[in-house]
Amino acid sequence: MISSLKLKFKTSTRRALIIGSDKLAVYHWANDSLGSSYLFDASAEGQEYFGRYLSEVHNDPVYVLLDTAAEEYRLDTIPHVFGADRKALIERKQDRAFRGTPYMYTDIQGREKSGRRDDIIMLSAITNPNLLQPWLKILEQHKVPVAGVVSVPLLLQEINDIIPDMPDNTLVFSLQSVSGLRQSFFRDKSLKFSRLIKVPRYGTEPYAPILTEELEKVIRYINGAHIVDEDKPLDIYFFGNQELLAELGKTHVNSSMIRYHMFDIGALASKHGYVEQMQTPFSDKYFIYQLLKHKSKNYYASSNETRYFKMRQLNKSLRVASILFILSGVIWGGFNVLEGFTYRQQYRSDAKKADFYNARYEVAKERIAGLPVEPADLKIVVDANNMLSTYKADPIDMFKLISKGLDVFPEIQISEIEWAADTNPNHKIGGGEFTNVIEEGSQDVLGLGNNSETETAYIYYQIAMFDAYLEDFDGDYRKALDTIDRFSESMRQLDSVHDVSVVTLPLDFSSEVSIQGSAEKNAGKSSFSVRVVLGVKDDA
Amino acid sequence: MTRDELDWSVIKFPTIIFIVVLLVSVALIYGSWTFKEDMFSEYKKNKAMFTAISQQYLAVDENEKIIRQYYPEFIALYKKGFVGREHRLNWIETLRAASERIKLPGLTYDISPQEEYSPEFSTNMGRFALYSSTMKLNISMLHEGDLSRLIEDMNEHVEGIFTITKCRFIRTSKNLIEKRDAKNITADCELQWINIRMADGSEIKLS
Repeated sequence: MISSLKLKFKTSTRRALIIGSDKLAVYHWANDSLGSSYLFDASAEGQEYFGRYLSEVHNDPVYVLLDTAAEEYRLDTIPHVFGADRKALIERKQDRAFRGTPYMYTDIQGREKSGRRDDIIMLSAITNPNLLQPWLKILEQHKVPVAGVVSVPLLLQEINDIIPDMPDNTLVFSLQSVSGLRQSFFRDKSLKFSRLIKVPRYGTEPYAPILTEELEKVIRYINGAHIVDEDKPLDIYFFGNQELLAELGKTHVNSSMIRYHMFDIGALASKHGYVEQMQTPFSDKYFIYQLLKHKSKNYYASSNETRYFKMRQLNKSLRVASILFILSGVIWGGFNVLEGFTYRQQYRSDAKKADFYNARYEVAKERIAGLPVEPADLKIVVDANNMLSTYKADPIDMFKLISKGLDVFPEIQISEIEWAADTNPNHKIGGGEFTNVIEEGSQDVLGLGNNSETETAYIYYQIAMFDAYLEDFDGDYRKALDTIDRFSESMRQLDSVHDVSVVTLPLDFSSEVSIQGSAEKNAGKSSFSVRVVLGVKDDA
Repeated sequence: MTRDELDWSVIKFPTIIFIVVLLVSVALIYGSWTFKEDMFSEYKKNKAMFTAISQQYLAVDENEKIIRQYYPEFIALYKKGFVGREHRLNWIETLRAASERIKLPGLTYDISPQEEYSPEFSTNMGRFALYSSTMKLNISMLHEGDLSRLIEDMNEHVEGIFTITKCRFIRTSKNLIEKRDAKNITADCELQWINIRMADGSEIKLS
């Protein structure tokens, strides 16, 4: 039956076992609440029934709550050390305190306030392993995942919800149906002492007197053992049903140093979301509810005993990882495929368009085949020709210009013209650069012109240097200079004339040269030279 | 948890599932990634092909426009001797014919070998180069109007593109002689006959 067992895990279901000295109860947890429960005797028959039960239900994880008189506690101190040293010290203390049991637990509860300030430790152990081991063995045989083993006092210490804001001196009385009356004392929220006594079967005797009697004993003990803080009041918590608590309330009245707290487990259970009506004074169900709700940690079970729980955790992790991986694979892969299809659609469209253009390109290429040069070269040739046409020059315009100038000066005769076309208006015919520098001493001399400084939009220039003379010159140089000056001024006013310069005059009057001549009428020369620059604009 | 504590019968199934899922996920991702990369590669290839062919097609379209616009003028320039070989014989014939038409008293010419020409203006020559032949003319004229007529005649009839770069006019007699063969003015002019050819020396031939 064991070998054929299949692990059927449910994520939200779990179970709790409460083990007493002679009974074991199983509680199921589903939908955040306690469900059905089963009770087994601590006998061979009970264990057989328990095994059959395990084989017939889902293999939910199990939390074991122990309430037995075989659990012992020792308060002790160890030097304040860490790591392996602390571990070795604790192991030594455990070996000395408890022999022959694998179920031991040590709680570090703080440090002493004086002296060497050693660590205060609470050693606890299940001194009778036979109480627990047979049940754990059956659980292991059925591969039940055991989450951990905890005792009632340790559960009270761990889960704050059971006694909220636990005061500094707290004494807790609780009745468990599988074990009896549990009395636990906590100082500064740490367990210092706990004991369990059997109580008569429920309904045979009233429990209030028993609790009262036990309370007196416990108070005497904790006072004698000096584990209570005498400066602070003692808070005593009774867990029970309304009937028990009402009876206890009659005899237990608060004083300055003792305060009683009556915890109706029915009311507490409904306050914490567990709505089932509690008829009996036993706290089993309430503690089990808190244990399963908060999933208490493991205190006593060995690593081997909890291995199926760890494997269950591993199993869950593998499933989650599997889901994540497959989801990642599907999502990532899906995106890749979608992207791939998008690219495929685009490339097919591009391929079609490329074929379309290629067919037209081939047709068009045939149309332009047979050209002597590349099409772009045709434009270069035509543009070059256009540019040359723009700059094409001849002296006709210059002739027309000079003729126009001479129209009003019939006495001026031209003997020679030198003409050239250039983009530089200062181009000197015969080479070099023309500069019409007005020398010192010859300023304001009648007949000399100046180079124009005006910016022009001409693309090139026609330059003419002509030699001329005055016909019928009578020796009157002043008149001759005036004629030349008026001529040059008149030329300058003509359209497109960039510059007119009189280069030489009939006679040099500057102080640096010698002058010879005759005072007779008609004596002397009247030749002079003029430089005319005609600008040519781009007609386009 | 130690190895000895493991119960393989419990974790075997989820472990196998996990391994299978892992392999499937990796295969899914790798396979889809490969598919995407292949498609992307195809997309890039076809995109580049499409871009290239569409640009070529557009270029052909543009070329057709250029041909429509410039080819007739190119042919005319070829025939006129601007493109390709110079028509030197035509120049001489045109000069002689013009001289006779104008009845110039005298005209001599001297043509130098062709040389590469660098114009003063800048223009894109592409794969071409400009060349020029210098022609020196000595013209005897009755008056300056003869030169205008000669230039006009040449512009009208000659096969070639020329520009006059310089001239020198000398009045040979003080008084104008009113005879048709009188040489009142002599002119020495320099003409540049400009021609365009492939810069690498290859010949341009019209089919």
